[in-house]
Amino acid sequence: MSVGAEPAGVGRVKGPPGDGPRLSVPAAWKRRVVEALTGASLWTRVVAVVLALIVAAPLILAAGSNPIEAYSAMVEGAFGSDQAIADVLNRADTFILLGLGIAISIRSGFFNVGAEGQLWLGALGASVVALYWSGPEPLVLIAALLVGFVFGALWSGLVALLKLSLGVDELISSLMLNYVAILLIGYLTFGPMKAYRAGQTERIEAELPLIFGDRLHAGILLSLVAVIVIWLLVARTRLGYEMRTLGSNPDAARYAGISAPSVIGRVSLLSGGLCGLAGANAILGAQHVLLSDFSPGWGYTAIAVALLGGLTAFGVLLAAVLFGALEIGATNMQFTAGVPASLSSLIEGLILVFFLLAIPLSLSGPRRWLRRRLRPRRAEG
Amino acid sequence: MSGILTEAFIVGLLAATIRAAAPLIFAALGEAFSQRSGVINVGLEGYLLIGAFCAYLGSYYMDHAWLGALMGLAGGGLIALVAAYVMISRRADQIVTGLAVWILSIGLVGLTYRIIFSEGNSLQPQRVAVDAFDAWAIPGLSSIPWIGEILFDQIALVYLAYLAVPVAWLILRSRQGLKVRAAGESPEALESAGGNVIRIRYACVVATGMLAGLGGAFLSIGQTDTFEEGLVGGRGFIALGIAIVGRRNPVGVLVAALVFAFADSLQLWLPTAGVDVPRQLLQALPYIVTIIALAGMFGRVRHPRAFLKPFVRQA
Repeated sequence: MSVGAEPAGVGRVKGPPGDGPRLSVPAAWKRRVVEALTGASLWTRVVAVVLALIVAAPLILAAGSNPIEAYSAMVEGAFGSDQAIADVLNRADTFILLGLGIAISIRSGFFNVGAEGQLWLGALGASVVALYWSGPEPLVLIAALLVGFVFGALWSGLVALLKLSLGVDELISSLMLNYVAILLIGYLTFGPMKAYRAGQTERIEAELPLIFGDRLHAGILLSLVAVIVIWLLVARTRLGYEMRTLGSNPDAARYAGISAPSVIGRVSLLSGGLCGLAGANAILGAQHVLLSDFSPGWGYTAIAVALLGGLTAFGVLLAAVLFGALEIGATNMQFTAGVPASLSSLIEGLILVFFLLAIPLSLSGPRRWLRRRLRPRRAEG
Repeated sequence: MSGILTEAFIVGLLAATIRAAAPLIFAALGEAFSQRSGVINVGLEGYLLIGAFCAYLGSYYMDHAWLGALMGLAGGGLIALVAAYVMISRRADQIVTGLAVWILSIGLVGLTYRIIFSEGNSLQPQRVAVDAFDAWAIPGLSSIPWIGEILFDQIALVYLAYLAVPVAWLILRSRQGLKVRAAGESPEALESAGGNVIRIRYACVVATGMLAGLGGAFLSIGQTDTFEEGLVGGRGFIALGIAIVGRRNPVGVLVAALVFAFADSLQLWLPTAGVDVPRQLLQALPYIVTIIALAGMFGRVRHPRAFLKPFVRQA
């Protein structure tokens, strides 16, 4: 099978010291994931979404509602009015920025799942600036967004630093740092930054300008710019080339003289920065106050967004709008159809599972996949 | 600071440590076997959540804590079976699958919890107390001063967790344990010797789910008598770290779990002694300890050779 397969049946002796153990995912399998995710067709995703909706239907029945009515209430809740659409886009911009950050990180082979923590840190950075600096509003906004970016970047940089200097696997360290970040903001909002009510800061006066109606804020423009910038970065720049090579073929990257630590370092800063920006954007655009329960886990949902989006900028954009619509639609459906809004998180998980199941089918094409399944049986008979 | 050196404080802290280690031991023991066979369960957090919820449901409907624990075991096993199918049979990436299973578990539990336990149109689940495990003092042993109170006045699930450690140690050294290790180190050799890599990996992952289900049962109907969606709080991910830091060895897992449980209990007990440290900073302790432990403080860990690699049987 694989080229690197060891001869079987040989007693295991200790490997040479240079081949020392490292706490990280073997490169070959990272490559497989990246290829599988970027290579899967649009149809795979559509099938995954449809299957998820079908499988979730019995639970809607259990909640005492008609699935078709519930789903149409969901569509109505997401796209039925200008306000609903504005809410969907306001949620989508958070997912876009987070999804872009996660996508570039996974594409360069750095399995950083710390988006949640970076999101919280970004929110903290923006809140600190907007609360304690009373300059002219445009300046405050720009500074708050920048500081949010930097806070997120530093939190993510810590993960990269731990990996590159001490060999700590990014998967677990970034997850642990998520909890630390949430507790840090819990400490601040119940302690030094507490307002008249515990668990939240004072109201943040600086607000992103509204661009349509009384709800849709400029965050969506910010995230569309980010989509284009990241697309250009990945497709057209040297760093983009280096990260694609590193993610898809680490050996080739080594021969091409690409320094993995340097690429991982830069990508992790950029990735964390985007997630931090998402936090700053959510504070300045939608929430206007830093709460001790600021995010219900958007940083994790965005992992699904990045994966479903095939780790590409425009894919993330589409997946983010889909998930934004799912969540806002579900929230509104809760009132109209009486099905709990947690339905959206179940559907998100199901979409991801079915997508993973469908990838092998998509990569080889349904017909070839079927033929391969049938052949061995014929040979045996 | 004077409250720290009292007898009540130390005994209480240590008893809490023994208790808090139980769910970590359950989850990390199975995970150690899974990882030895070449599969990582990033969805462990989800197995714990499903286990906790199923145990709560079981106890709610059947009004008996032990039946609840059994349901937790079954629920954890089932969700792990789903993960196993995707990772082992469909050969999808293990880390991505784990994350997917975790998100799926959160949605499944959140939805079912609200469907069953919310009243009227509020859709806010009501907390219902169910039959939970009571502490069971072992006659004789529990009357030893200090030690009895720390070790032998716990609930049955805690004893079970500590009993599982020597059992796991024996299994790892048995013929079956050898097969598990072979599945992770050199699956081709195991197949040519007549073993079944796929079946062994399935068994390890499902066993991990069942044990994590018991760990979840401890979190819902063991240490409390109710359910709350955030009750797992990252213990699944900490258990992943424990399995690795403990070198995927039952004794190592036990030691690592106790260290983390101590950090966890400290945050509960220090405030009772009048130590004025912000609660959140103490709560961050177990997570920071995990990172430090992984940073090679206890030496580097060698992964099995076929770690994270799907097995393709040659026709």
